[in-house]
Amino acid sequence: MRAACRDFHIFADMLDPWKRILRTATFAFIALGASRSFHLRAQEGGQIHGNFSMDGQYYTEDTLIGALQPPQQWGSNAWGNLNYSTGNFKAGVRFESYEPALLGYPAGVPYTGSGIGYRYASYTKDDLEVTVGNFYEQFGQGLAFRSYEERYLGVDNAMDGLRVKFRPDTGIYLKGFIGRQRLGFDGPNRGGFFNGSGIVRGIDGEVSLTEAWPRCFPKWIEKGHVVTLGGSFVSKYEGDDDPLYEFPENVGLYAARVNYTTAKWNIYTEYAHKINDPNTSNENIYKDGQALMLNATYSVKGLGVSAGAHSYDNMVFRSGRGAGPFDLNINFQPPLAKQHTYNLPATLYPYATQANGEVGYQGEVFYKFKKGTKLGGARGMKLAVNWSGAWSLDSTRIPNDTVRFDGYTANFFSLGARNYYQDLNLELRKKVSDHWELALTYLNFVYDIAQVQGKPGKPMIYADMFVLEGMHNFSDRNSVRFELQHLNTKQDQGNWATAVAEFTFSPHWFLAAMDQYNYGGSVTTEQIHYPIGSIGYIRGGSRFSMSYGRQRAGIFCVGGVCRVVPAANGLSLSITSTF
Amino acid sequence: MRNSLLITLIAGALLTGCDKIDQPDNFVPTQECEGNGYGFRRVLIEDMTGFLCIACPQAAEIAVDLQDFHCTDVIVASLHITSTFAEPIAAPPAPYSTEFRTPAGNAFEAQFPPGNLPIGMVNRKVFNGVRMLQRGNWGTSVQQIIGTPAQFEVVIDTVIYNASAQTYDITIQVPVLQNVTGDHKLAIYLTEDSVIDWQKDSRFTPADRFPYTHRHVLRTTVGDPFGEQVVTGSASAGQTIARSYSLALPSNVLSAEHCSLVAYIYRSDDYEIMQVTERHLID
Repeated sequence: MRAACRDFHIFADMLDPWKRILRTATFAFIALGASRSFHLRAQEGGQIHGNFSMDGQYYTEDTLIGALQPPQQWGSNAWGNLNYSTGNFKAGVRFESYEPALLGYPAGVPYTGSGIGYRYASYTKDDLEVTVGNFYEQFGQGLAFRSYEERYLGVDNAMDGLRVKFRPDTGIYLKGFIGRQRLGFDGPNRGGFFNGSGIVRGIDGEVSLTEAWPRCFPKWIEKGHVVTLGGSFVSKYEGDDDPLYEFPENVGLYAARVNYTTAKWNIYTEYAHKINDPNTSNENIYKDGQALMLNATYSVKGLGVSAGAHSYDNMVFRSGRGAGPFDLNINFQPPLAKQHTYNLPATLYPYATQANGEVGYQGEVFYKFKKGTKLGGARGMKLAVNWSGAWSLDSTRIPNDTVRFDGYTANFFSLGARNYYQDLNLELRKKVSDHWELALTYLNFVYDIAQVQGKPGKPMIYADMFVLEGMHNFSDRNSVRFELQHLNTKQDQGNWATAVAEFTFSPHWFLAAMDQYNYGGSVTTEQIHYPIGSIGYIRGGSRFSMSYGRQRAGIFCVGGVCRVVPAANGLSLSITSTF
Repeated sequence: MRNSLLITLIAGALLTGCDKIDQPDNFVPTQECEGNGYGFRRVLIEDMTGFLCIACPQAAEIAVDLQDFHCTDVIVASLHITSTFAEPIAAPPAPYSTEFRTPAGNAFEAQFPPGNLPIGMVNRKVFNGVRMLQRGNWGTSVQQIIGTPAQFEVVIDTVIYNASAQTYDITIQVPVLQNVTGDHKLAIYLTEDSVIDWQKDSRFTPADRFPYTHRHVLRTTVGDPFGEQVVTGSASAGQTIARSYSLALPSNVLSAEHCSLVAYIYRSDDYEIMQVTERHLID
């Protein structure tokens, strides 16, 4: 009984005791080392595996591009994961090191020093999975809850607490969790990560109708139709010590979703509604928030069509109401903008979801011209056309709003006057011979840099881009890939040109060179070149690469979340390894 | 089985409910105002700002609200920093041509990299691992310090204008109220209130505001931006530290009548401000 009470007490107090226990277990786990683990593998079938990655940079000052040399001259981010599993049990730990962190990293609360960044233990038994410690999780597409890590962005809102997943019956999936979110990393003072003060708890249920009740839907099963229904409720608790505002200490959000799939169709929709949640991002208004997203894709051999739309209104949901834009996010508002991989469109004018509200649309068509047709030629040709755009939400500020503090009224899914961005892009890709493949891409951007990048007073950007990409195989082992990119605009920094060449000498070596040139055109610029060269070596599960040169200031985005990367000049080193 | 699961889900949702507030009882400034007085900690909010920062006016309003709420226990200094948000974008007399940045502000920007603006420090204290605080955290952070017993008092004893030298002669006394250990430094800001200029503000269309009243603008520091060491190793309760300074008004000051001295003592190792006080340059 006493032990049970103690267990309950641990559960109620949640994190600090768990943290101590897990930290002790973690260090014991490391101290025992690989030999013990391999011993377990030999005797009990346990396995240990992991990976390591490190990005370092030696900085030199370059006044021409505004690159600074920090006092330490060298920065590095490093991560090492160790995971152990045996039977139904798993445990793992991630060691992180920022000595100091690379300039501009992370996007939110600083990371300093070295220590433990993540640790967990879990077991699975009789369709029940229990995880204690850190975990990542997502409900639906994330409108209600998404805990995730995007390492190179410096976003990590890992949960630290308890999670239970249960499959009570065929086709029924339940999840529940409680805990706090990772906020920052302080090796010297805290031995690793630390959490925000807010508590987050959530439940999610998902039912696949055809799996759960197959007798009710025989025709759907026969035709391969699947309908899945889901629902979530997530709430946060944060004490209210603020002298100026009466804040709700418990804020809840509920969401519902439907997914319909067939062999050709995938239709998904999700709606979420958030109760009053005054926070820094929405300027402490008490208006409820809501979000609706719709996505549909149709695909058959050689043809793919997709369309999407969403409306987000006041849906920032953080476990710290005063947290910055990158910290303690509970939910995620998926973007519709295409994530480009070519350097100029990806880093100059990427789009990030406007968290307080937007209306967005997206459409894409992919078509493959068959071999032997007039356009397809001997080897066929692929065409992809994509368009996306986002506007402000049609809203009206409430005058003299001193009673309810709702801030504004909005017409859901109605376009406001401000166009945040539009992106139209076409890509033609064709294999022209046994050894050559070419791709030609055209992009047209309309980009409100004042809104998206927070640069007030800057005019709307209208940009045209062309990219020619070529790949040539010299032999089965050796190849070259090149890109020629050009961006034309009369705004911002004017015109850019970029050339990239990558040589691969399989299986071990690769060489790359890139130069970006901001020659301005109709805009007067300093006409700066940004040359950079790289060399890399791959052996087994390890990859080493080294680069030297200039990196211009830019924006780095993943999944509609972006951070500013400052200009840099110097030598960078990257190592990744798995075992 | 399935019904019981449904009940469990709904019950779980209800247990972790939410607080609906229809008419928030938010703070409304009143005329009556009084601080905690001698011997209790006051707070310095260092509001890192810039006239091109569209959310900075909201932060400035929070700082003013906190002053209204806590009266003389909250002191504000606005540090206009970063090339992104505070660098003039035109030549005078065009909008946004005023250079609000100062060498002292630049030194603080280097020491306490702000990331994005607006952001601020509350007594430069680290709250839950974070020193650079988003404006939404200022109120809670201020609340944690104000009214707690102070280790020091800081008294700007005299401010006398020396007409022949065109300087202000300042004497400061720092009574030690508790035994303290560790090195401490005394630093002094000169701020100017009610400076009229341009300001970007996301709540306005267009976003340009003029005339906008910039509050508590840092103009310079008296001596080194990071002050001078006044406690080495330890100090005993009952001891009083006294210092004298001379200040010549810098050229960026528009009106001496709007200027104030902000003097504070802080721990050298972690920069936490232990006590702060403010006095008008001209009474």
